[in-house]
Amino acid sequence: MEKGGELPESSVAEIHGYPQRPPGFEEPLFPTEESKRQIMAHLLEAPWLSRASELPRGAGETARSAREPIRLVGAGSRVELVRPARCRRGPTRRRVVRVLERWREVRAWWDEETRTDRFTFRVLLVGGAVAELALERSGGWFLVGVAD
Amino acid sequence: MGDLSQGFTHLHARSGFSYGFGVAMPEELVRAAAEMGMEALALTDRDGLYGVPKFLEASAGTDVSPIVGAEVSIGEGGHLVLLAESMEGYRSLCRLLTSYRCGSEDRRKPLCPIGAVLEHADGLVCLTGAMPFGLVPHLVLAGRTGEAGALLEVLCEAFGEGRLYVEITDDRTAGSRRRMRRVAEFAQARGVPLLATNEVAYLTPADHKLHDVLVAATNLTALPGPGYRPTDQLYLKSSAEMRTVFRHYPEALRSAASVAERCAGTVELAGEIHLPSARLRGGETPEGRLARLALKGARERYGTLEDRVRARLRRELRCIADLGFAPYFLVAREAVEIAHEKGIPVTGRGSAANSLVSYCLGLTQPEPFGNRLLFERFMHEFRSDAPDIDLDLCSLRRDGVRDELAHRYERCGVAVAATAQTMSLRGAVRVAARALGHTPRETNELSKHVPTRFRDRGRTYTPLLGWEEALAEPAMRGHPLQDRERYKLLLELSGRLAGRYLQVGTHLGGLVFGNERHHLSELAPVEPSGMTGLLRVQYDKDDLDYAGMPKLDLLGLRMHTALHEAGELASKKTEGRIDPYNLPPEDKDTYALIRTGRNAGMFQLESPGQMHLSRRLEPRRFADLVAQISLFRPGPVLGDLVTPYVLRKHSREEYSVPLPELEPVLRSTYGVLIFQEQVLEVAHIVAGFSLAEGDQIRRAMTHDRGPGAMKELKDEFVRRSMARGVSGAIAREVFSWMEGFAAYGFSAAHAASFASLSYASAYMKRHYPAEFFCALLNSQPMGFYSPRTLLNEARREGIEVLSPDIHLSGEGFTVEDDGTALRVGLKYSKGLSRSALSSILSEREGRPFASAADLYQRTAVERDALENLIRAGFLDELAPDAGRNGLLSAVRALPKKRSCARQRQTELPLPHPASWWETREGAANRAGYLPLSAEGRERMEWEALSLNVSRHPLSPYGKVLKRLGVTPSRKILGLPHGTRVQAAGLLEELQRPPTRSGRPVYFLLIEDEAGLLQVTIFEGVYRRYGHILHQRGAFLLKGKVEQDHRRGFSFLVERISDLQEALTDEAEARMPGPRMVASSGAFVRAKRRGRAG
Repeated sequence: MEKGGELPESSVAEIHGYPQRPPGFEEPLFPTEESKRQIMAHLLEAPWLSRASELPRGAGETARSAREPIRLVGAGSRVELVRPARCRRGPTRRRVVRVLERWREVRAWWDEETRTDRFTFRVLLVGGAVAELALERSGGWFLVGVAD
Repeated sequence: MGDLSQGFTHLHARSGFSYGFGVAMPEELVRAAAEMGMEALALTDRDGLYGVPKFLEASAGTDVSPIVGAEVSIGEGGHLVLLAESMEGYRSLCRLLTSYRCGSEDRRKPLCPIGAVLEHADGLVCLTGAMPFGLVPHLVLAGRTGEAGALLEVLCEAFGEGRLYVEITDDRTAGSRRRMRRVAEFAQARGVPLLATNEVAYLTPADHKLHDVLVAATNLTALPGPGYRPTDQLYLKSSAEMRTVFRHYPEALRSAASVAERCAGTVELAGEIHLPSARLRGGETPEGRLARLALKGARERYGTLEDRVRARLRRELRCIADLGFAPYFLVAREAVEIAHEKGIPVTGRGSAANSLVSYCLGLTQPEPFGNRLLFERFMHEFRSDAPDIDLDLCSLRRDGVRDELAHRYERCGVAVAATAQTMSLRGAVRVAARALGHTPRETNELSKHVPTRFRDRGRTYTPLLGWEEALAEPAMRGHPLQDRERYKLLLELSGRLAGRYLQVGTHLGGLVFGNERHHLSELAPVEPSGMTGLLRVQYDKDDLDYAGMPKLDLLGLRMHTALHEAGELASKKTEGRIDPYNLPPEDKDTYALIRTGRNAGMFQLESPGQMHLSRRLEPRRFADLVAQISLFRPGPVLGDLVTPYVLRKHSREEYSVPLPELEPVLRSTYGVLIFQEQVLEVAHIVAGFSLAEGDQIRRAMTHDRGPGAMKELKDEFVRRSMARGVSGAIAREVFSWMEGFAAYGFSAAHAASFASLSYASAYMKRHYPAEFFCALLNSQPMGFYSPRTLLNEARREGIEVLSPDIHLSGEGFTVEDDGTALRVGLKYSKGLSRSALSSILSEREGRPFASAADLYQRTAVERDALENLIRAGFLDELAPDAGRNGLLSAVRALPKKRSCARQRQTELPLPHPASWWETREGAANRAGYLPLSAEGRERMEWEALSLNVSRHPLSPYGKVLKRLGVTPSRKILGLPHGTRVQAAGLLEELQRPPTRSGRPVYFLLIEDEAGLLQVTIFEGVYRRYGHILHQRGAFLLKGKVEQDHRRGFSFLVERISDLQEALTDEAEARMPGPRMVASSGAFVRAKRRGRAG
């Protein structure tokens, strides 16, 4: 702070040393669906972010990866994700609102333990959760990541 | 071309010619594109146009219009794709590639400064590179949009409107759509059109593994290689797939169609021949100079010129002038002139010897009239391709001639040809194993004994189609790869990689030239070869013809080196001038030696097959040698021309010719059509075809032109024959007869050129055997036999082999005792460096060495090398009492030298003259030693020299072998038909040549104390006992002698066993045996190294 001068303008991000928010994005950040999509797109490309499907279990993050077999139940244009029953709870069902993104992964094919050969879909579920579902070459759908 | 906007054209596609960054052959890409109905396709290999001739040639027969381009690695990071929209663009691209490839610090990772791209933009269309590594995309995606924008502006300025496109690609990895959107938005904001590509790197999604392996192999790393992308989408997608992927970017699809429309078919390499510009004095024309030189040469050779010589010279010179080839002859003559000036032996080979002009210029040696050589076999007005002049020079000094010639013509550009190197199955195992993370030792274990391919006269024979056959080979019995489950991935990868391109090599002798009109770098890209000052053109030696760039082959021939040295040694001995290139002709003793079949060391006559043929054919004159060389080729052997020729020569079979007029043509070969030149003459005599037309028939018969073309030719032949009064039946018979033989024919000119050297080598062997063997042993690697066998052959010829001696041995072998003995040279001692050898020679001049320690102190010999000198026996005279073991103990107590005391870097040992085979891929285990050795001295010598100095390794076993019922090889040759006999010997070579029936037959060459013996192994026996041949070095062979009046001698093996085991039962100590390696050209071979391609 300069003695006798005006206080300089500083954002919260600068004060805390957080990364700057993307240029051109004015607060409030999420006034519309479109602005939310743009922010999401930007964040997904940020090098300091991890994709849910790449996170190890128990990493202490809100997003996590998994490889949990699921079923997709379709009825007309409505698709539901069905997680099998676990412990005392019965199977859970979530409706897929829409597909946000899709990609193909053929990773580490030379390593039997870590090889990946699948089509992955990032979907928005009812309730706002984002999940990553994979259709593996060997057959079957799996829940491979969840962003709570 | 149809409407390209309806389909899709891939404008960014790499082939295997990207060497490590692409998989598919250009031909495969074209075929696939044609099958998908694509009307155009671009080939854009990384930093090169290596595959362009093959790409254009493959496109010619399809509806796919080729587009030529390259992916250029930019120094600032990323890459650009440049496409030629005209021949001007092609030349710009060649110049650009040459410029940065020759200017890059690391020739293996060339980088192009962006300024160079801007300078060479004429005639080129620029795409900004695929995502994410393209020049502009990588900046945009890294958020460096300012830099990307500035770059786009300068590119816009250089290439102009309509010639710059921002490339968008979708590899379908996570985030690829977003990346594409960002790049698209960037381009749209700057008004630069988008263009869709798929950065094709392989043909099908499954091939992505091969691509990943090749990237890793090129970078000598395990998987994943640098820049690894987890995708399998870089394949040749169909138009429909591409239109779906880019459905949100229709303008990008439209741009691809528009660029394809402009660039398709604009580059044509075929049709025009780019000959060098000869160096002429003021006012001279190439044709005038050639005529003067030819006439001068003719006078020197013929004295007064007869009319037939004048007429033929006139005809040849006119044809050469009409086709514009005079400068090419003049450049070839200049090469010969340089060789003569430097005293380097040089001879011609190939069909050029059919030309009287070549003969008069000194390019070739056989006299054309006497050898019935026809100019039209070499060239004529109807031949559209360039002639090919090949010169053989002493291999040690060939580079001197090449470099001098290159220096004289550097103004227009000179370079040597490239060789596109593909992987054998064994090579593919090595590449895949390394990529999969196997250690070098594991890789050696896994690749050892994997059968490989072999080459003969430019053809590659791949005896095995795939792993099923390979794993069933006896060579692979007990091999780790038999565990198919464990090595499933390695087997899959290597099986699919075999035959694919791996790297580019250099054809050290194939020179190509630019000319006044086009500098070489405008005809094809030029790059550093890796040898100081030597440039390499990017096209493969076999593609230069297509590109209209005739090459002048200056080939290194070790026989020249050996003959030259033998001549020098013989001259010294006789105190007269013995010139191996000017020997008394038709020497009876020389032919008598050839007829014995003891031909080891004789040029072209030394293989077991030729030895056998020498005994059957019994040559008595030069023409017989020419025939003999022509007959023992895969063609004539497959066509069984040998038997009728031999029987008719010895009057055991009558022969007739279809027309009496043909008698003069066929008399010399007893009615057998052996030479290609004869086909021309037969067509001339029977149907009145000109010799040039006859050559067209020969070419049509040799190169399959399809049944339609052959029928047309036949009809024309019959029609014209009948017009000359020949009956239709006879004409048809003659044509079928020619057709049957033409595929097997050999050029008489080529055979005659070789026969001159065969005769010279046989003459020197007969009259100066010690000098000849000395020269052979000093010119290694060369020929068919290992130095060990050559030395044993010398011993069998009565030459004494003297022990190595540190004071008496020369650098190489030396002749002593007035030509009756050979002494082993210092360079045969393993591990000796050049400086160590020189220091021994210079120090002993001053005063002799008093002890091993004295030698160690006064010379640059390292301790390991000194131990080898002791083991070899070089120091025996220095400590007769202590013996070699005593010397070795003393040497081990000496301090190790600090290499930096003498020089900064430790000097590498000289390559051992007999160690060439160790560098071959897939060297096998050392075969066990034979038992028995009185003092272990011979074993030491064997280990240090790879030679049997004291005696043949089977010498001590005479009685034991007799007890085992073994008959010496020389005696077996004379046994009557049906005799069951047992042979024993050391492995020299095992081959599987192509056979007439196509069924595999193996020929094993063994050596015993008496000589060499080739035995025949049929498939059943090979399947049963073959593993012994691949795992051991000495064999006991049980079999049956066949003496057939048609085919002569053969020894059919029925049972094979390990000689060492047999001898172990009889004896206890050990004796040295040969090392054994697998080799291309043969399955296994003792102490051999491959000859140049």
